Amino acid sequence: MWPFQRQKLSDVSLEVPLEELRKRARIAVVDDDLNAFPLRVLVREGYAIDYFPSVTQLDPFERGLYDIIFLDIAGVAPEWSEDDGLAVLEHLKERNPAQVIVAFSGQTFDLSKSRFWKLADDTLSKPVDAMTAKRCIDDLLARTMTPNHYWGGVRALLLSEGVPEREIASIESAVVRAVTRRTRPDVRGVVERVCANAETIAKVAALVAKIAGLLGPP
Amino acid sequence: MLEIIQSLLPFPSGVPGSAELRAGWRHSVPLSCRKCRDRPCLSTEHAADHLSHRVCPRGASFYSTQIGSTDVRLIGLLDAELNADCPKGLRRALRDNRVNVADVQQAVTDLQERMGALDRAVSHDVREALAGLHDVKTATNVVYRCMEEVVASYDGTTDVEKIERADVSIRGLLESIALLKSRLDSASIAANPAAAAYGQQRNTPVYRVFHRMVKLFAPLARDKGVRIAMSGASYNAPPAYASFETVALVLIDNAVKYALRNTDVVVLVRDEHPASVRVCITSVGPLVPEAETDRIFERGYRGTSATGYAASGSGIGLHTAAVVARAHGFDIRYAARAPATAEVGENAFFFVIAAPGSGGAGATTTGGASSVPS
Repeated sequence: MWPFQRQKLSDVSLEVPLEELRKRARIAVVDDDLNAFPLRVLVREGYAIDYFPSVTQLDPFERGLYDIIFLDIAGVAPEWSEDDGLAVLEHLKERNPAQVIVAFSGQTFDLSKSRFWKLADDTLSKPVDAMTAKRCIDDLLARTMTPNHYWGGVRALLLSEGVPEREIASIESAVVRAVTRRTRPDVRGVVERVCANAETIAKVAALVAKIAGLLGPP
Repeated sequence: MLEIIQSLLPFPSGVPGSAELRAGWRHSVPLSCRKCRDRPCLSTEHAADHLSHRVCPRGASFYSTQIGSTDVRLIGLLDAELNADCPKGLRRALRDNRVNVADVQQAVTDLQERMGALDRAVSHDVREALAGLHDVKTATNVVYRCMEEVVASYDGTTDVEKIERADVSIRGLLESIALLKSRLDSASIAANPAAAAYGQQRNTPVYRVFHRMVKLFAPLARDKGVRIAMSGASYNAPPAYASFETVALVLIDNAVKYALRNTDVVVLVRDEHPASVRVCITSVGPLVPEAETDRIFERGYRGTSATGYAASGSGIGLHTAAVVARAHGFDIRYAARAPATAEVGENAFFFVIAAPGSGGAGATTTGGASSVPS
């Protein structure tokens, strides 16, 4: 490698076994029907799943507390918007592009809901058996619980704030340096220099913490 | 939808890839267009999502546009400004089809609005009609959760082990629910074809999908006195949407439904190219007359032999399977093996599914798959 070339997260190898990802992942299921998702079976299998019958607060979902959110479209957020779950999905994707959301509904037949299915990272149509749900989770964990996925979210956030590519690459380099030295990357200071939005800074810090969590010691 | 669009167009029209021309309610198809053999105006190369004008090699104007999701060509027109080089003879032939861009634009905009309103009205009615489908799905959720608790009570460390140790009746019940779930998914795609491409594509072991469906249909086949079996070997797992299962459901369901008593339904699955899988389902039953083979995948079409043989059926299944196939980039083909005059013989439905770029599925449309695998 050219000695002065900036290091990228894709250069850092990562081999976190799926078993380990399963233990670390936090999953949220938002559905007004308690029977819709195979909660008991998957909790017995060792997945950390929180169940919400509706969206009473957006904050835990906005903050990126959950690695995967299974979101129903109807009856989960009627007080937030006429569009119910679709509005929540759009809002969360706008606030946190790296948030993995699975569209979880029985209304695949409804043409008017197409946007809901297309916006989501994946879909799971009801009724669903435990085996299918487990396969969906494992596939998403392997695909999205990666430094590159979270870095994609950081990039999208910084670009939306007008931060130049050069600065973003510099922040990425700082993260790589920290994780290869096995130290905690503190990018707040660097990000604050290029971005004034406190909310974005907090989100970037949260995503970088996730990257460090994956690349750091278990 | 195409018929409605064409009937509301004032100009003569055609659709890409078809040789058929249709008169508009104001202007007819000019003789010169009817005589034209090449019909470059109907080439699939000129697709456009907005109104786009072109002049054909003979000198007539044609427009490409999209009404809803339908590509339409407005053909055989003469624009005073845009056809300045039109030969005199053709100009005379097209004298009744004089238009200007503003007229065409206005007609297209009006039609798009009308079709949009129609689409919204149909969607509303479909939504109302399908509200019951949602209730069935909700009820099925409860059955699933109850079954999972029953299975959990058996010994074993994994679900698979527990299911294997469960009573035959419990396993039968699980298979029945799985079949019900597949039918519900298929009904959803029939109502909303876009659902065929919902979600992420995952590497899908094709053999396993068909084998599972064969197991689900085994009791129904047995009750009908039909034997059903898998054949071949396949290890490829091309990327596919969850909807791919519907292809297996429909083709095996059809084969069992129309198979004659004491005959075999054989599901052959075998690897072809490094990344593609060929599937062929053969059964013995009433043949599809040659004149109808192109129509059996049309929505709502039931062949004359199908109507005479099985009372149930809506002509939706094969159409739904074809929709799912198209979402995966392949076509399902039909072939019959029997003397030309026979009414009963061996029916074969076959296709090739491949990983994108592997070139395997292309064989279905270039003739490679028109031969039924033995």
